[in-house]
Amino acid sequence: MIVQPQILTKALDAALSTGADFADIFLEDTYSSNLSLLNSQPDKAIVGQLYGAGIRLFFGHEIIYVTTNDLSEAGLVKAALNAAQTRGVGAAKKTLPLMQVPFDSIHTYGEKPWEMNRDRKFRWLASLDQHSRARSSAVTQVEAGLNEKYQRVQIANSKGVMSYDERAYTRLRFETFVETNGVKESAYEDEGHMGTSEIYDQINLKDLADTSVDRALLLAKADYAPAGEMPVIIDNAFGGVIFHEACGHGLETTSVAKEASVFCGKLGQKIAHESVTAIDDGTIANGWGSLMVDDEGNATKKTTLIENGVLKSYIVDEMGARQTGYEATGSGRRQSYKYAPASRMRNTYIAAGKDKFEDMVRDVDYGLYTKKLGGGSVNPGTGDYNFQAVEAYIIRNGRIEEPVKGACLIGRGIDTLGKITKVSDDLKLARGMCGSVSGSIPAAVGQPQILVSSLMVGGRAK
Amino acid sequence: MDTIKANFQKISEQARQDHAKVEMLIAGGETISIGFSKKKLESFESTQSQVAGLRVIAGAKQGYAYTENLSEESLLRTYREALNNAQTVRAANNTEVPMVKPQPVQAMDGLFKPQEVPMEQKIAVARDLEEKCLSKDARIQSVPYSGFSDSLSFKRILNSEGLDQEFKQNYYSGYVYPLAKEGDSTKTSGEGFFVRSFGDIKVDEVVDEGVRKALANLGAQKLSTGKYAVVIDRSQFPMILQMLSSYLSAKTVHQGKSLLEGKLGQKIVSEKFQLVDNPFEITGSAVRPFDDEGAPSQKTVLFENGVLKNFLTNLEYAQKMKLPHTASASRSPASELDISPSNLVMAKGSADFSELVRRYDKVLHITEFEAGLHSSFKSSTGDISMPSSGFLYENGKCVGPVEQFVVAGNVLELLQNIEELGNEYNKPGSSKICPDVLVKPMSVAGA
Repeated sequence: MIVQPQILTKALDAALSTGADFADIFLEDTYSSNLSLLNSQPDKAIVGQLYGAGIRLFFGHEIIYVTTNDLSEAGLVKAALNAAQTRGVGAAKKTLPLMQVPFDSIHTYGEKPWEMNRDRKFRWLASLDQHSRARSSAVTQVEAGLNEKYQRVQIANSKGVMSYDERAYTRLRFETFVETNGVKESAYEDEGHMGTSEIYDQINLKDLADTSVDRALLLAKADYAPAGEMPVIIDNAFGGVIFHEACGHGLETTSVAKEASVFCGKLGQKIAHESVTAIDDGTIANGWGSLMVDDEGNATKKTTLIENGVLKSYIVDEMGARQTGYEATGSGRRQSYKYAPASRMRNTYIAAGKDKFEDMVRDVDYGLYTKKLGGGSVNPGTGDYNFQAVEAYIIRNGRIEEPVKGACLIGRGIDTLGKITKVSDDLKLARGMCGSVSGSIPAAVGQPQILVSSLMVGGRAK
Repeated sequence: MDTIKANFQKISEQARQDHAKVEMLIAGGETISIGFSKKKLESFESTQSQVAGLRVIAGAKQGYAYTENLSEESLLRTYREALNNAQTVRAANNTEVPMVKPQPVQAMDGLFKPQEVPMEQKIAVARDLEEKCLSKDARIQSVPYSGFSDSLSFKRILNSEGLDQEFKQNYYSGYVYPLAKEGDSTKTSGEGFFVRSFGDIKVDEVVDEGVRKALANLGAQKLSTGKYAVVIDRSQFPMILQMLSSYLSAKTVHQGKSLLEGKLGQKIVSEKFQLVDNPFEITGSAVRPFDDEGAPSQKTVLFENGVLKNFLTNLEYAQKMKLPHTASASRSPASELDISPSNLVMAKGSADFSELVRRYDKVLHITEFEAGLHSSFKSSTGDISMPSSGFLYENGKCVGPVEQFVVAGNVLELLQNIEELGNEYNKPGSSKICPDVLVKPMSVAGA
């Protein structure tokens, strides 16, 4: 609990004093820690606190949003009145009695980040550095960082809902730099989850370090990818970023309600190959993109977006529900109180299919296998997306052959969905940070291996 | 004495007792953002922020902590966290980290002129941005994103050497992102403005340009793979300068991560390329009278006729690497002290756009890099792989819009291959000020 309910009621009543038909308050107290290691030594330590509130009013389809760092009764009421007076001219309404939603999280956390011994944290980072340097004498530098965030939120709204949630995030990130035969390269790896940091005692950091060093060495000797349209097999785990970018953003009501999505008006229609079923699930215990309640105070859900190729649901927040008439899916999310919430993805993945990865490879005469994807982006209005393959191989005559670098995959979401012709039985999820209108939030992506029958690969012209 | 100064003096006194030095950077601002959708007010946001970031220097070590609670108790607690953080890290050597001493800074007029503009006028700008796009052409189906913002920002730095500098600015900005549709082709295009006086807002110009660009891209075709001479539009070249900018930091050089290491005084890019770091250029968004450790700003020549003339430094790295101090310290209250440019200003050329696209039989005019830096640029190698769209010119005439191609290569090679520069700068509001750039034929991957 950050603020007492009677204070929140006064602030909500102030927000409703000029005719708003809905108001909510999002209060946040967040601890952040950022440690890093460079030249095999502890190099940086920054800790900090976010402490503030966002007050939101609905006048029909209009949103008024104000923020304040003053969480006293006077501060909250003043901010709420300012918001109300900005637009309102109507009759005052009253907040329904606030009823606390029981805080009974499915996520388990260990030692709080500010309680845990800092030497222990630096030991994990040092171990990544040591394993990387031990893997190859070509390693010239290792940059490793541990980011921890512990967010406590309290949300109350004029419909009488009051929720509380605690979200712990931890993420270990590192980049290894190599130089071999005069060629410099680097590779990046990360490990993280919703939870606290003691998990790194269980994770095999040597494997993580070896993977990163091996990829950097592979890239140092790899030729550039060819260019043109070809079949592409996209690996599981972070490969799911293709669905996140190509389709997920276009299913958010933030785009749909504005008719700025190619998926507008397609509910119940076949929009993908029948082998595709896609889920957006906020309920995975300790999942990277999971929640208990969303940032609008609603219990989060597991939402089937596409079932056997047919569009079943959008990703809906409260305003999206008002605008489109679809039920909210517990998907209202934001980076912090500094942003009004918007409909956003949680843990989004293509469900496992029946195909075997080996058979998919065998089916390709000449194409690309992308083992690890990097970042990408999408234009929700057109569905045009792009993302980079950070580790890729040529497939020739049904066999995975030489590695290539610099491959960029380009396509249009709705076209690509129709070209996913095989979906393997090996589903994995991976972490990402998703940036959109309500800031940067943790979101998991995932999929089994998929075969896209034809995709534009931007490599280098020979 | 104001509360902030009084609180800082208590922190400073505590630091003296701890044999440490302390600097407090307070940054924040107020922004009103207004957006319309389907000709109705969609959102009205009024946000305020204020964050204090403390940097504690304990000999050769530095530690950081920040808070949004500026009470005396909270600031003292944050100071202790920063001191604890300084004691956690290891120092590379025993040289004490220097701190800027109070010095006069150049006054900068015209940056802080808050105006009493009635709210209805601000709302009208936001409304016009959307509505005028919609009524401009029947092919404009919607304006998924548009908005107007009235912003005020401030930065204040105090340190235990007695420095206390403050800088405020205000500005108005807005953008439109119309969506055009014809047949199976759907295109969007963005256009915006950044002005320091409300009276300088020209909604019609922004709307005309945004709509023109969205419509011009309709019916775009895929491009054949090959080598093309390329004109990178002045609205997009800032991304190339952004790639270059981290290599110019003395800190990046010292960490062995800059491709420009050891190249000072050498001609490493095209002689057409001249670049100056100019914190006083008020059409740029990165204007600053002093840097983020309080040192008075100055202009720095970075490239002259393709020769690398300087790296950017803050006080610590100027001393450490025996380089001129360029007052390029940068940080936010929540981040460590780094080095980055202010406004990067390229020299422009004398060629009209029509001359640039006539130089080769085929010229590709790139009007949009579709992906962000995070995915299209690898800093450790300089490799670029940039999904793009634009227009193909043959014998100086526009053949039509093209899309879904990737410009690939290396950022330093691209700068070496600059052949000619246009004679007009991009619009105000960017921290990278540059003309259209003609680059010799390079690898373009398409269909």
